[in-house]
Amino acid sequence: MRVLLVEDTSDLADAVLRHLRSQGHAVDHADSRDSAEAAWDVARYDLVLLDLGLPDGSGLELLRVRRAAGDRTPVVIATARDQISDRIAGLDAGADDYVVKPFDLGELSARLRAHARRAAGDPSAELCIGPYRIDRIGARVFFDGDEVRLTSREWAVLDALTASRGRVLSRQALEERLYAFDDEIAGNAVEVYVSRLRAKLGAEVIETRRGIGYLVP
Amino acid sequence: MSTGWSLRRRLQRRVLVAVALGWLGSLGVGIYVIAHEMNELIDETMAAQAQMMAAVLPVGTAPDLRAVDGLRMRVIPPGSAIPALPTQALAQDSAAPSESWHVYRATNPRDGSVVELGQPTTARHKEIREAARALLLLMLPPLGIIVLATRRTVDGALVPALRFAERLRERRAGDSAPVPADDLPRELVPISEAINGYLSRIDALLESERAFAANAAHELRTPLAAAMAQAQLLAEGQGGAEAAKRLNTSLARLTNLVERLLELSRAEAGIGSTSGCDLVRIADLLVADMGASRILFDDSDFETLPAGVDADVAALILGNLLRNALHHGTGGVMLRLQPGPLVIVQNCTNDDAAFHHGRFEKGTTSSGAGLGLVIVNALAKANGIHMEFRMRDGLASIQVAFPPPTAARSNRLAQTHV
Repeated sequence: MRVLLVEDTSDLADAVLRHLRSQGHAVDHADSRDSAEAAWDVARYDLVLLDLGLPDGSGLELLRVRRAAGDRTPVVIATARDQISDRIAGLDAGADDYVVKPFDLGELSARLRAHARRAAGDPSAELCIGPYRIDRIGARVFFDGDEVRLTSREWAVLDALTASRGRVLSRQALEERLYAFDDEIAGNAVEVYVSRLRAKLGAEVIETRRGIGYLVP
Repeated sequence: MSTGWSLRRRLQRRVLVAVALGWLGSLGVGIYVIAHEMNELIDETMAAQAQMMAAVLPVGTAPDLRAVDGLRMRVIPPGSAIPALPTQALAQDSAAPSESWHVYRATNPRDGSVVELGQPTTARHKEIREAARALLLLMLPPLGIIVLATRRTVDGALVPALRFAERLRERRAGDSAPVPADDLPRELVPISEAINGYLSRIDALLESERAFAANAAHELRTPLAAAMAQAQLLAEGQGGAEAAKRLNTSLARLTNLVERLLELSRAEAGIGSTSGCDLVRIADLLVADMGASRILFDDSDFETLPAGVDADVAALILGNLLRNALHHGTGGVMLRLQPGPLVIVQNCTNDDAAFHHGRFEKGTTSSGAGLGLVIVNALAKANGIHMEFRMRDGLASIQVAFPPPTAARSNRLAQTHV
């Protein structure tokens, strides 16, 4: 999934960025309200991880503006403000969740995945595709009890397709979910990952709609 | 139960004493006037009675001595013996008051016999005493009424004050809202105003402490989160050298923030105020600690520059100013000592630089704690140090005027450094 990380503390942003990218997510980083607005305007994010105390404004105000404009992107607030009143204000402003610093990176990414699943309309933690059991929380695939090893990118493609199960996802849509602004995108990257997935899971798992995109039936 | 004096009893006692004294004074004057008037009246009555008796006395009446209406009457026919009385017979018609008797003489014009009417002075005194006793008895009922009225007035006046105290007593510990005092008498309003003013100051202090705790928690959590996240990356084998470096940076920020918070805590708790210090020595140590290469230290050829503040106070102030100048300035820092004793810290800045005096206030790009000037200002205020901040044409200048040392301190320092 594609995530916008809005965080002005570079050390923290770096760690979160690395962690989420290691899980196959495409993450864009904004260190100010202005840059966050600019990124949010041009890309479709599956989730926004938002700090409140930004150097050029309030993250809460940014969230209010987006919600007032009808934006329904899931937003998880990650902040050092730990008072109940702060949480209430954040949730009332339209946040889907509120994480207080310091947080565990594993828990953070689990929450992000859960909110992304919920936003996609299927919050279930597990689903089956043919003989395969897909653990969406652990980001793992099992065949007959044995784990099928996937790379983070392969998982990201499979996750995006299963989240939109039954619907065709274009190559561009998949690329948007796989790559952040500063990632170099190989021209046939999506085809390569789909091909690898088919090799590991079987050709029938992902169908190709020629000229349109891919789907998991 | 209060062991102090009673307002009601004091008021009662003083009103009673004042009224009684006033009454007795009035009574004394009154009795004097009454006695005077009574004497006049009785004298005139006796004179009239004597003349009347003399006029109606039959010719040839024998000498006589009789009692008439509490008076003594003596009839002295011409040439006869004078009946005995404690007073001498008068030689002619007149009044003759003395210390013991009041006597009046009248002559019968028909035969020249004389009638004398006399009254002992004690009899008059007795009348006056009776009148005075009656007046004194009349005073007792008003005094009783005054006692009751005073008691009820004081009790009634104290009810709003007791209600005010009850409201104050029933409050929760954290409730510092003003206590309603609309029904207090005007004389007690200054007390309620003082208490409510005090509560207001406590409220402001508590609010400030709450804001500080929230801000401190907020400021501490962010570098802590960064350090934890980087450590987690390292533990998962994802971070490499970059994560280790960033972990180090996060911990350095955290350390800096904790140090500033501790300094602020010490500054606000009040540190060292008993001894003086030598600013030259302190500046030397700070410059050595912070990197002499970026600080140009001009000691104006002072061997020593005594100041009337504790060494820790001076070091915390100058340390924070130098740290700020190094961190936020764009070049080197000038540290200059001058007589006064004065210390001047100057550095070049960006055009948009500004001094941030509020807690946790800092520039948008600052990675500092936002506490340096808060610490400096708290110490300056507590130790009588005057600060001047100037920002002009890209030059930040802070002048610190330390109080001069007392003579004893100055001598001690001079002996130390000679």
